[in-house]
Amino acid sequence: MPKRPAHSSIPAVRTTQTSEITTRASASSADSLTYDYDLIIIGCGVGGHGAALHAIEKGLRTCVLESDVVGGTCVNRGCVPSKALLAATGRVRDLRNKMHLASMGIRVGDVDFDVEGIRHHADQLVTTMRTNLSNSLESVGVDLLRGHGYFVDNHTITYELPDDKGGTITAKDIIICTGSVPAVPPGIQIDGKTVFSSDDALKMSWLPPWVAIIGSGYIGLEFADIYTALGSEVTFIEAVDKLMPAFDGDIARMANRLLIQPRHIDAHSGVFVTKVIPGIPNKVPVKLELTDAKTGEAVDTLEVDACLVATGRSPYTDGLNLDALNVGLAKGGAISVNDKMQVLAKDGSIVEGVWCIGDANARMMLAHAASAQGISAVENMTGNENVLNHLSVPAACFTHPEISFCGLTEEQARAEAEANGFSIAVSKTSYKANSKAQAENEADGMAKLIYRSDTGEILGVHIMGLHAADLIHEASNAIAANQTVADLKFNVHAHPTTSEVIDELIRNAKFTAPELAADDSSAHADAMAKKTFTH
Amino acid sequence: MTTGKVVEWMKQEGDTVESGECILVVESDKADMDVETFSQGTLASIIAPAGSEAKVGECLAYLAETEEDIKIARALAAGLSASMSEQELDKPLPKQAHIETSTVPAPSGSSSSEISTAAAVASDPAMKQSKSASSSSSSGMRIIATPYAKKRAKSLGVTLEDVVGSGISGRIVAEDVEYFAAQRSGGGATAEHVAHDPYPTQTPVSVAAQSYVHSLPRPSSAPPATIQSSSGSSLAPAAKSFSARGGISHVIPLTAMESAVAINMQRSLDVAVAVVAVDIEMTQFEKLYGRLKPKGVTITAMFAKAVASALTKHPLLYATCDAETGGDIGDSAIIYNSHVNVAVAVSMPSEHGLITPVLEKAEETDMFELARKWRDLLKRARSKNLSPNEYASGNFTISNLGMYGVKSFQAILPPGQSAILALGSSNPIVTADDHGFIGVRNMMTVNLTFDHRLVYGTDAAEFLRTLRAIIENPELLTSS
Repeated sequence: MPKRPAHSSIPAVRTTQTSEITTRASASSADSLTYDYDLIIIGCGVGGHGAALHAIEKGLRTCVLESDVVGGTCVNRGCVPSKALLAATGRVRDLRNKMHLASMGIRVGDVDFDVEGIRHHADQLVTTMRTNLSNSLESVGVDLLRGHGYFVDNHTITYELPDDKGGTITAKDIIICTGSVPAVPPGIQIDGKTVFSSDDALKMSWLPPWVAIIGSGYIGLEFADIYTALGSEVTFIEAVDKLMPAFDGDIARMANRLLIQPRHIDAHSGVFVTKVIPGIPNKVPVKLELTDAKTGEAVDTLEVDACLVATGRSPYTDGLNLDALNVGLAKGGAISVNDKMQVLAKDGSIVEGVWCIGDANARMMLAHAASAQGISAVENMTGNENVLNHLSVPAACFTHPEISFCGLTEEQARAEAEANGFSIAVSKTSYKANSKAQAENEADGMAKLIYRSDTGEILGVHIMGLHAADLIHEASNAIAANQTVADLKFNVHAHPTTSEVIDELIRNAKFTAPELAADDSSAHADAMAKKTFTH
Repeated sequence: MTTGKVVEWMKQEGDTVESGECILVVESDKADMDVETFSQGTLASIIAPAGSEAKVGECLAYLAETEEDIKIARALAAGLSASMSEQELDKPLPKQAHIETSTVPAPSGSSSSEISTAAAVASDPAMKQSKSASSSSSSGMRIIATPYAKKRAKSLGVTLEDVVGSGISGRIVAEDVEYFAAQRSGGGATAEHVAHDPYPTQTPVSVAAQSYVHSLPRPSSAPPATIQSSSGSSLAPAAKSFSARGGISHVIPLTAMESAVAINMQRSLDVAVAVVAVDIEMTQFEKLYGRLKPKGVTITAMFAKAVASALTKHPLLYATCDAETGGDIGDSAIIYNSHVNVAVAVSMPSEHGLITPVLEKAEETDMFELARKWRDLLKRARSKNLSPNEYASGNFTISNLGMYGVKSFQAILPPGQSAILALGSSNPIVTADDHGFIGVRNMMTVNLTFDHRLVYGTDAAEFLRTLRAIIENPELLTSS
């Protein structure tokens, strides 16, 4: 027997919605006219937020359910605080780079910082973003409910908090966006002080002089950037036999040259951490046992001040009662979905009315991917078939200098090419040729464009250098708009900006558009049919 | 393009390369360029390592086609590295060596030198078993060195095994490497361009020897110019010219410990010191010693306790002036310490050496405990088994030559401390008492050398007055 939401955090401004609810008598959940909402979104992170805003635009009565803090990982334990820390520490790094400044005729004295001040900047930002997020939902009429929700059936959610009995609500469609948590390999004990995940690292409660970072993905790289900017030393430990295995090879090599070699950083690769013994800050070191990933032999024991576990994230689906829906969980605990973000049961059939976006489905664990998936799901549920092309979703790593990319790495592209019988071409350019970068004396960097040599289809773009995280969008939007290299040649880039690196990249891409047949549309259709969708 | 920078070697020495394979990346003023090899063979030796610059036309590496050529190439590389500016070849790489073989030692890694990292000496069988991936030590001892320390060691041509670490648990930090390199030799080669280590492997040094060097605050720059050149290295002294006076009998280079002591003694010249002396009547003290000796208390423990008790009333005497780093003296501060750590100067019986084991927190430790600790410290000091916090943590030093009959002497102030007390012998002296009667009392002369930047004459005199009162009325010592 469905109950009315017990409480709402929204003042009674949007009376239209609440009054509709009071007049409706909810009988069976199968009757779509009597659902409490058109859409219930479980989880108010970036995915849930993006989905909710789009749903409102589409006229759906929407409710978002949150069991912890609004904003989810991104706002509270991820992107937002880490960018604040990177901004502050990036400035410390720049201001302490006496040689760089002297080359421009600037002399700086001693640059000092205090960790509490830097942390405060991050905390302030988190609070602001959290407030902005909830305001932006409330102001467009989304009901924001508090509670941990679980499925009664595919249209009914019961929610509650330990100190609040909550309620039960029904909806025609339900999106699961419960996000993820830091993954911790077996054998590693987190104590939150000397052995910690990114959640605790962002609190910056102290500055360890030497940090071992397990994992050399973007989280590990960003923290290495933060720690070394403040004067600490870092040792990377990577299970795969080369660092930054998920990045394009050329980028990884350049990153090694710019982010690792010149800094107080060393690395062990091809190595597992089989044991971590926590220490006491500044008194007792943390001990890590390293074993060879292939042979299992003991390799070394490290004694460092702190250990950051940055080995990835695991989807979080606890307590959703997915068994009620017979939902299949993929490896690592991810909820199985199809290309339209519909949840699949263990037998592969679609669970009607249930969707899953964001980290919980582990397709692409990035905040903006979650909201893009959310928008796609809402389109699908309102009758406009939509499949998100994940190759068009960019990713960025906010080290100094930045790294960004969208699409495939060269290695992946070559594999695709070989498997599918086409050939690829690669265009590369250096930041050294860019006047703006040279003006800043920050001309270390490169960009790379991988495309099909027959159709000009853009397969991947990778950038490392000044403003890389902003520059990638030309490429990602081009892919989303199905543009080819030939189309890009007409793009105009303001001078002097770093975007001219992309201009140069496009100019270096040797490609002539295939001759269009008399029937333009069929030739274009042919070219599109050859598009390489991998997701 | 007139010069380029070697960004990265895609192949390492010993790798086989095929024609057309990219073997290195060169950076010009425009872009990074992949450089391919035209020949195939083995990359025998790399002359220009990653990060180095080279002129167009300069040889970057040798490629050898046959096994024989590899040896030749290595010889050539060794010869070339001694004089980087010479351009023996017209073509850039690859180049095959056609020159006569000469035997050159392979690049030296570490040999069987003892590991002198104090922490590694701590007996931990688990540590000894694990293969060390971070050093090329053959003795199996684990070296803990921070990433930057390893980088500095590589660029300065320092073998980590020779460096004593001053970090937590004896970890080697970059400053330790730099300090070691600065005092290793006056020579300027920073090994950045050299293909092999030009220095013969350092003489194995003992823990205690190196440890005395690092027990004192690091100098911020190289040792002062007053030091004789070539402090402590094992380079042949025949290179120096001596003015013979009475004919040279034999010449022995300073050991690491001797050079450490020499450096630190010289550093006291940077500090304005003064000396105050006082005579102390020893009758009661010696009576107490007579009673406590059978219970295991040593005279050193008693002196340490007396000094510690006196110091608690004069904290300035175990404080430190932090103007060590050569900044403006006016900006310095006095660092007051929370505990009295009494260092006692001890000579080494087996070699010409000097070390200062430390009795920590002496002000709150009773004499019996101090005596026990002292015995243990002494034993381990003489077998060179002290850890950094057992010889480096002193904030006041006692030196005693009384056993040699030395009546009075002035000790040299150790760097990082404000005062050192020199004890002379206790001798029966004819004295007059308050009533004018003549008697004989045992009197000991003590000289306090102190840092006059913070400790003034009256401070020193007041401390000595307190100390004298304690020693002349030593019953109080047993009660604390």
